Amino acid sequence: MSKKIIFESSEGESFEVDEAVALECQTIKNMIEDDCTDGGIPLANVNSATLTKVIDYCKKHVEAAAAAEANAGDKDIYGANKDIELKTWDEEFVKVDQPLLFDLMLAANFLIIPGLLDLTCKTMMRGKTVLQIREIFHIKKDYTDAEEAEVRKENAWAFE
Amino acid sequence: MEMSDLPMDMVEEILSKLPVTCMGAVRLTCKKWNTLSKTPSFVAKHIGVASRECSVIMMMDNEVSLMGVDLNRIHNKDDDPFIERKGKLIMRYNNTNSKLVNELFHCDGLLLFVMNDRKKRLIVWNPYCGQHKWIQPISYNPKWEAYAMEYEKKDKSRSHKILRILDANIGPYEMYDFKSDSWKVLAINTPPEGDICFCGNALSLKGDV
Repeated sequence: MSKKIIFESSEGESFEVDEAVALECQTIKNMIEDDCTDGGIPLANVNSATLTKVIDYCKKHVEAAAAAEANAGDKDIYGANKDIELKTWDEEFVKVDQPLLFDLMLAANFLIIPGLLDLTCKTMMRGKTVLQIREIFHIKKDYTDAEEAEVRKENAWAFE
Repeated sequence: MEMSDLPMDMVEEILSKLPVTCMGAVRLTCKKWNTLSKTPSFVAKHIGVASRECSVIMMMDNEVSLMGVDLNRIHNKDDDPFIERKGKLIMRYNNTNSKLVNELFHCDGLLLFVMNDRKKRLIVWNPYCGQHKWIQPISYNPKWEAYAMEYEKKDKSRSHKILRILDANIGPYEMYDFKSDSWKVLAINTPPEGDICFCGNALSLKGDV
């Protein structure tokens, strides 16, 4: 049987996962290598809802990597189909509300999961207008109208 | 935790992962982000992230489009498109219409547009930092012309130049220098042997001029 790692969320809830899944997080990987994971890993800044999603993500990616390896013989050299399936899964995975997406991003940053960090960062602002970005992230407009017009002019040319 | 509570390097990390099509919105959000988006460390990171994806700039139906190409999907047999439009060029102000772009050249990440209006103005644009510059050619309405953009490496900086040829065989050959913001007519009458190859109206250039 594979070794289990226990995470503890900020609410004190325990989550047991396979070591292989936990190894997806660089931070945890370092801890496992240093042999300091006995008795569980407390994650004081990751809540249960976020941690559940993070574990789902890591599980899926471990499974996908294992499946890709198992099928390595009979797929074409591009290995395209598996990639597309995982990409579609990722897209569905980040269809969550903005606060959870933000928490996922912070968790990915803290636990060092490059794939998840990339995914959440990209999703967070995709297709949003300036007003929406300010509203979602509670960013105050610190431009005067004249300054804003100037920046608009500077960026008059853009790919949109 | 809010976006405004994040340390700046984290914000840099997030924003650098966004496609170039989001950068206008990023710069307009607040002063901090605008400043950040112009720092060398941000630009380096942003280009590094973007270069992992394969993009091409194409002119289709008189519109300049940014296309994403997914080489992994190129051999797929189903209808899954491996090339898709990620954005199109929008030109606001100065009454410019992107449909007026007649020809498009590129060099070192810079784009040179030859506009199809009566004055045949040239515009150079950096898609990453969003800056653009208008360049007025010396003369208007030639029967034929060809352009090339090149850069010269001096020390560590690059100085970009535009070559404009009005007649392939007898010249004049005009050279625009970005540093001095001026044109000069080159004192040569014949094309340097073998250095210029024509391909329609486009032209590629090797070696020193």
